[in-house]
Amino acid sequence: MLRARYLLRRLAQAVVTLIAVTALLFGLLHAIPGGPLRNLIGEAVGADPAAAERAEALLGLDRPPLERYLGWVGGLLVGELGASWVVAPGRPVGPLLLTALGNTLLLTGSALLLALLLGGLVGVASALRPGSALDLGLGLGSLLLGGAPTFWLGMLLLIAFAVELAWLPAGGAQTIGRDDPLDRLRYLVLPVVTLAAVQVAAWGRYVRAALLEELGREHLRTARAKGLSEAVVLVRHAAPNALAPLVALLSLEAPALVAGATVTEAVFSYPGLGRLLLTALRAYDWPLVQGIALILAVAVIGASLAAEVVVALANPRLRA
Amino acid sequence: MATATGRLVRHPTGRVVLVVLGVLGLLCALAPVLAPGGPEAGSLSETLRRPDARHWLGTDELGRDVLARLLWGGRVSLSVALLVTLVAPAVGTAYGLVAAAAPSWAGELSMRAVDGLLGVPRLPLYLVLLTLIGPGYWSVVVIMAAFEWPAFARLAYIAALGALREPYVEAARAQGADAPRVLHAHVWPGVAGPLLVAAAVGVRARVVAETSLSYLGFGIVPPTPSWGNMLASAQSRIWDYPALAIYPGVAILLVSVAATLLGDALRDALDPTTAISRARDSERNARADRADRLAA
Repeated sequence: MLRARYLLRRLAQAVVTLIAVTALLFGLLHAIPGGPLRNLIGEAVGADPAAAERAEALLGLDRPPLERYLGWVGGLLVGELGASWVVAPGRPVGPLLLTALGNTLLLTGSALLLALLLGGLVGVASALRPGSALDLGLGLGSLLLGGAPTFWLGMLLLIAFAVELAWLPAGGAQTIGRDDPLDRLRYLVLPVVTLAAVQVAAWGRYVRAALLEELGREHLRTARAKGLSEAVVLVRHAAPNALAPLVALLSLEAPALVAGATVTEAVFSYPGLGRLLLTALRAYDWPLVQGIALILAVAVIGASLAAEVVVALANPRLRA
Repeated sequence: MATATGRLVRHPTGRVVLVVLGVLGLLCALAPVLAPGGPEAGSLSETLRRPDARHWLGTDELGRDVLARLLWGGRVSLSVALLVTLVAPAVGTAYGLVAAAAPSWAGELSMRAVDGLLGVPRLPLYLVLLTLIGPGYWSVVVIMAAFEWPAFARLAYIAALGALREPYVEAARAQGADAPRVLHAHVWPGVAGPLLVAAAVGVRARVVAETSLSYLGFGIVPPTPSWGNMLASAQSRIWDYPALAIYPGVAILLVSVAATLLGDALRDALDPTTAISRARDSERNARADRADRLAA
């Protein structure tokens, strides 16, 4: 009962936040001095007020701001995000976003999976043998990989595997005219490895720290004293406690999953949400920018909601 | 503080990274002397030269000396990081301390705003704002500082709240010390250390953020060189001259690794008792911070 009320309250808060975000987004992009068309029509048309006015009327920009905002939000409620201005003139923004979001989730999801898998293995191994060569390697690796900017790491991989060895394609998502999973996989390898490399060390260190702390607990001494084997102690008694905070942390990673690939997508010309944002910004295609920002906002709000729910379910003291 | 400085200088890695950062910073600061021709000097008849006695690191696609551009670019990249490192912690700390000293409802309300700012994915936000106000040196500095200070506000707020509950602070208050005096004399010494460490550790993220923005074409834009936009133009030549992509990246790596190690050394120097369990502590603090954000 308490739990249901808590969740409902959190949900209501999330909705209020989302409404505030749409107002903020709309206000920001339409508060540009000279109007949202300023950069778009440039000096040439800007010198001709009649042409600028015609363009504004065509796009509905001559209506009062509140009316335009309500129109936009009303559209959102029925799944209409407006039409693109420049990148795909006149076409609805929604389908463009969905395709890009799908590509981004494929990229970031695979990278996260790879990073968790490798990071978990390295973390467990080095927690079991603190001070070993592997443990020191993890420290050094996280220092170097954490220090290198993602885009530079991507460029190095590009030089090694696409330029010098020519094993893998240098950019894009698939060979034009071909549509088989194996081909797409070849295009995914470098971006996924780039994104994962940055995270492996971080997850490895996290798992190592969580497990080391857990391994020092007294209930493990009891478990060992009962005569349980070290493997059972690790899997049944240490791992569950070390994993609980990991799940909450993971749900906070969602915004990074959606947004964090921007740089990687730029390096490999991968047609995801981040690259679409860059394209839209360079073209001053504001409806498209608004749509992407909205997806990011939903991801952020949804992720923190999910994290709170996970924490609440795991920790009854936080319910009240 | 003097003893902490002494401990930092005697710290084995602290000493090395101080020298590395000092030498790098000095070289970049002296760019006008070392490379008086400026970052643009070059000849189109000498493009993409391999390293030789005249051009120690060769020339780029427009015949400009790579080493000279590296120094001039470093001036830009390092000074952006330095400026943000000076401004953001100062603003954030002041905000956090005031919020901690204010009545609790006001403090919590002002921290809500900070939490909201902290939750926003940084890079897309920077990209949108830089498109709105236009790219360039000061745009990058202002925007990065504007979204870096909340992290320090949060840190200062938590540390100050903790300090305010200490018995010695209560004693000072009971003796009639007013809020500014309590903050300055009793709270500040306790929060200065963690804030200094956080400021140093954050240098890595700041250098990476500026170079990423410049790489994407939204930060420092040519003709002003930055390590980031040098890498962007290097990427267009990776098929015929990939070496161009190496130098600026190594420079960024060097600075960010040195800054991370400097942060660790600072932490040891400020609080020698934690040196042994430092690694585990830092992980736990990071986790506690996350948990705080969840519970807030």
